[in-house]
Parts: sequence; C-alpha cells; structure tokens
Amino acid sequence: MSSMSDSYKNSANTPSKQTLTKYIAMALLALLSFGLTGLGAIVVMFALSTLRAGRDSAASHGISSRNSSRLGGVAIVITFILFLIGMVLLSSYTPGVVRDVTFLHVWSTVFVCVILGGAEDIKADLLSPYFRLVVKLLAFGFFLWTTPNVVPLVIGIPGIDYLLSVPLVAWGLCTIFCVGFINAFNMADGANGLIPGIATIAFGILFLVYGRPAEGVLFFVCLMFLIFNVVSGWFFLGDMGSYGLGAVLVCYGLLGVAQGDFSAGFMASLLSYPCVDFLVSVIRRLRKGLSPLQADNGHLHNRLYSFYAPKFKSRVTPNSLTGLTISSGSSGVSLIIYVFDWIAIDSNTWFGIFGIQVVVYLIILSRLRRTQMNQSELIIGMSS
Amino acid sequence: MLWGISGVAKLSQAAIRTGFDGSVVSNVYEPDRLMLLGFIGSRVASELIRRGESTVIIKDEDRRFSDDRINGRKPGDFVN
Repeated sequence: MSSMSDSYKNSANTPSKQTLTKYIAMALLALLSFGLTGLGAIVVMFALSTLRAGRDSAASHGISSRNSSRLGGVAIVITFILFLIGMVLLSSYTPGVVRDVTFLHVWSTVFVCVILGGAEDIKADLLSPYFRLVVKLLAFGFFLWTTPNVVPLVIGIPGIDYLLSVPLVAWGLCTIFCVGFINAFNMADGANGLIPGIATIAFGILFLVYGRPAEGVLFFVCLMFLIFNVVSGWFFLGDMGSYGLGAVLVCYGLLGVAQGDFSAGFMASLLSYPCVDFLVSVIRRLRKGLSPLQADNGHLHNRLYSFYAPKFKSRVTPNSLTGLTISSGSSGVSLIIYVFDWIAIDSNTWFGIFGIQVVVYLIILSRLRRTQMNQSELIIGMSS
Repeated sequence: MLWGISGVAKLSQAAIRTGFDGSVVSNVYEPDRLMLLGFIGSRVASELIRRGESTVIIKDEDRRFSDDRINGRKPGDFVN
C-alpha cells in the first residue's frame, strides 16, 4: 500500500476521513448500480490497486498529481475472464469464440493487444514504441486479411467508398485505421473517467444493440472501473486497458458497420473524442516539428484540467470532472440521441453530429488555449 | 461476483420454465434481485433474457425441457 501512504494519516495505517468517504462512495455506487456483484468487482479492483507492480509516480502520468497504479487494465481483464468462466460453468452460456470464427479472430487480435499493453504496464519501456506499432500492424493486418467480412464495403463517404471497393486498398486502410484508433484511445487516456466513461457508454450501446452477454459483461466491468477511477483516482487503465478496450471497440465497430447494423457516422460520433483529439494532437506536433507520437500537454483534457484545477482544493475532483465532462459531452451526446431514438443508428446523419462534435472540440480547445495564454502572460507581467 | 452470475443463470432458467411469459423480465425491482444485481444489473439481466435469442445457446437438457413450453421458437434459439 506504499503508493497510498498519503491517504493514511498515521503509521497505524488508519485510513483518513477522506479515504473512508471514498470507500463508502465507491461501495454505495457499486451497490446501487450492480448490487453485491458490483461490490465484488470493486473489491477485486481495490486489491489489485494496492499491488506494488505497475506503480506510477505522480510525475509520470498525465494530469494526475499522486502516486497511482496503472493495473486498471489488468483488473478489467481479470474481472472479465472471471465472469466468462463463471458464465460457462454456472450457466448455459456458450462464448462467441466457440460459436463463431469471426469472434475467435476478433478476440485473438484483442488478446495480442492486451499482452502488448500488459508488458508495458508491468515494466515501463520494456518494448519500444516502434516494436509495439509493428506488432499491432501485423496483428490487425492478419486479422483483417483472414476475416474480410469485418472490412466495410461502404461507409457513406463517396471518395472513401471508392477506395473501399478495391479489396487490397480497403484492407490497408482498415489496418491503418484500427492501429491508429488504438493509439488514439491510448493517447486520450489522460484524465480520470475519460476513456472508461467513453468505453462504458460504447459497451452500453453495443449491449442495447445486440443484447450479447460479452458486451453486457464489458459494460459492467467498465462501469465498475469508472466508479473506482473517478471516485478514488488511485487506478488507471494503463496500456493494457486502453489497448484492450480500444481493440474490442474498433473490431466490434468495424463488424457492425460491415454488417450494416449501424453507420460509420454513428461510430465516429460515439468515439469522437479519441479520434479528433488524436488527429488534432498529431497535426499540432507536426506543425511544431515534433514527432507525432511525442507526449505533450496540449490535449483538450490537459487544458480543461488547468481550467478546473484552481477552482477546487482536492486534486482528484478536477481530474475526474475533466474526464466526466469530456466523456459525457462527446459520447454522452451520442448515447442520449440513441436512447431517445432521435436519429436511426444506421443513418448517415450521424456524420453531421460528428461534424458538430469536431467544431465544438476546436472552439473549446481554442478558447481554453487563449485564456491560459492570457493568464500566463499576466503572471509573467506581474512577476517582472 | 460468481453469486451474481449464478443469480442471472437462475433467472434465465426461471424464464424458460415460465415459457417467457414476461414475469421474470418485468420483475426488475424484486428486493432479492436488486440486492444481488443492483438497479442497472437487474435491468441488464432482464435485457439479456429478453434479447438473448440467437446469441446464447442453451444446454441440450434445457432445450428439451423448454421445447414444449415455447411456441414458435426453434431449439437453440433461447436465451441465457
């Protein structure tokens, strides 16, 4: 429990009042949402968050200002596997990987991504970024080559539809898109509840669309992680979580679009934040002459955190508020439109919603950047 | 957590026994069920039972048991 030492007031390991409040809040939210089953998942996550392995110092992780664990992905994988094993043993559930070869290929690819991320979580910089990139390209290239039914033939954008009509080009484009999306998901994982919030909403919608147990379990696991992550701020997804969840979402998304269950615009709108933030960050870095994958603090979530931080005494509250604001303001909008059935999920009107989300992102980013530049100029002026 | 899975499996079996008359699916706020699965979990369980057709294959003995109760469904079409 070394990393949580600041949560304990004395050497007798008595939790502080603030820590006790967090325990109670997590337990209540878990009980209300998923009953004793949810509470069990929270206990598993708490146990994993106290392990020495996968520790992050405060300085090394995004906008967090305290020591934390990056084994959130491990907790999600363990809880998910526990549930699957339980469902196979205790009920009449037959997993998709047994029923359908497409799902076998999907989950094999997810497994490769999970292992890649897990290696990085257990020991930072164990694998070079280029090695991970090549492995992801190979995994998705192989997956899409052997499972061509996952590659959409039409997405509703004339130029891209023309390219997708050439099988080899479609395969190459989809491979690059999948790897890019996973990196985008990983890059956007910089605030409590941001990526877990987006994943919870996405799996919730996928569950409502398909009614499959796997999405139901992923929705449950992501929601429990979201509660733990947002309330405590002790636990991050890590590379295993962001690679794994990103891989599941991109595979299910492609499959859904290829089958015509929902439009590409719907998926773009649902997962707008990681996609837009990734593209804007890459462009920003290239314009500065930096590597497109070099980490910086110019993301919208960094700027929103800087906006919230002075307004709160707590360090966790502005961090969690940043993540929840962005996830509910991007994917949450798609969820509301879907739940109220304002736009059919197979409609290309969703591209319009995505366009609005892009414009809103750029306006907010620009305003926050300008405000923060004015503030820093004011501080420099006052100090001189 | 395993208790929760077992609970959902029992709900599913109860739904099969009652011939999918809707009683299990609509009984979302039953106290024992709420304690075990919570407000969202209880709705997810109902949705799984209602929408499970063609996504989850039940065991042969369940299929035989339920065949004579559910008109219009093919064996293997149900639900978890």
